[in-house]
Amino acid sequence: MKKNMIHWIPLLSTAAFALLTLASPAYAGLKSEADVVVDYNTRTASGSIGTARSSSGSTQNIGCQSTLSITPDVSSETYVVCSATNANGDSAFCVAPVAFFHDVAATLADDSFIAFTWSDTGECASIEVRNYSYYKPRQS
Amino acid sequence: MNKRSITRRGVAAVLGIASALVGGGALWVGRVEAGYKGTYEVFIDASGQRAGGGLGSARNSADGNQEISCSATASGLNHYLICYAVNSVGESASCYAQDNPASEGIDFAGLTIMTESAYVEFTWDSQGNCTTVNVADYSSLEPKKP
Repeated sequence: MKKNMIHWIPLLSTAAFALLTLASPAYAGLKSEADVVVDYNTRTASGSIGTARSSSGSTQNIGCQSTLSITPDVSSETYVVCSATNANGDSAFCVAPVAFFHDVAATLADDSFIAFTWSDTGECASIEVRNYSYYKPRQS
Repeated sequence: MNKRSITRRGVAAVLGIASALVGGGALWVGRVEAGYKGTYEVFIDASGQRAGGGLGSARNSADGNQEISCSATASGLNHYLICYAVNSVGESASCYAQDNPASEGIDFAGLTIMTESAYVEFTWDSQGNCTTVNVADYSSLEPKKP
């Protein structure tokens, strides 16, 4: 009987360890920070909303917006603007008619990573929105 | 309408909101030292026919009155848009837009940027028609609290 109990000890230890592990919060998924980067040479800006918001300084900011401008009974125009400011205060933005970026704008979420490029006239040349699990969530 | 052309009016409206949300704007009322943050409680400028606010800031406000919203409805070929705001003292404002099939129609698609932390600002004419609707999602905007 005593011999049988000795056989059970490793199993019980393993089970206890497993229970302790399960009872603890599991924050071990892949995580990534993406501070705001503004590069005037390549006309590129990028960063994640969650990292920018929780960054140690008070300047980082990144996001996009749309503006619907209506002339009642005549027409409407919609534009998208993406804007970014890095930790040094360097900022950039681009403007685009929404028709070119509607599908991308629709994927923008609370915790997205955003990258955009612009032409020499300031129009958006590209807008990329990534919604990956490893980007930091937006926090208060 | 030439979609490639960007009118002066459109750019001015867009950049006005962007300026407010990325820093230096009149709407910014507070921040803490950790990333650029702002509180965008609901404001109504009746004489200027303008209202706006952040969904998170409105929900997180202490007064129990504030709300801001835009809702779009498609019914058959017709599309409708209603934006509505209530400030901290219970004053309300709204605007309305309806798709006009005779024209190109109103492109509500651009409003898909409206995330749960979005900032919304709208203007209206003397008839209550929406003249601009801005929807923004920047890292400076606070999320909703439960």
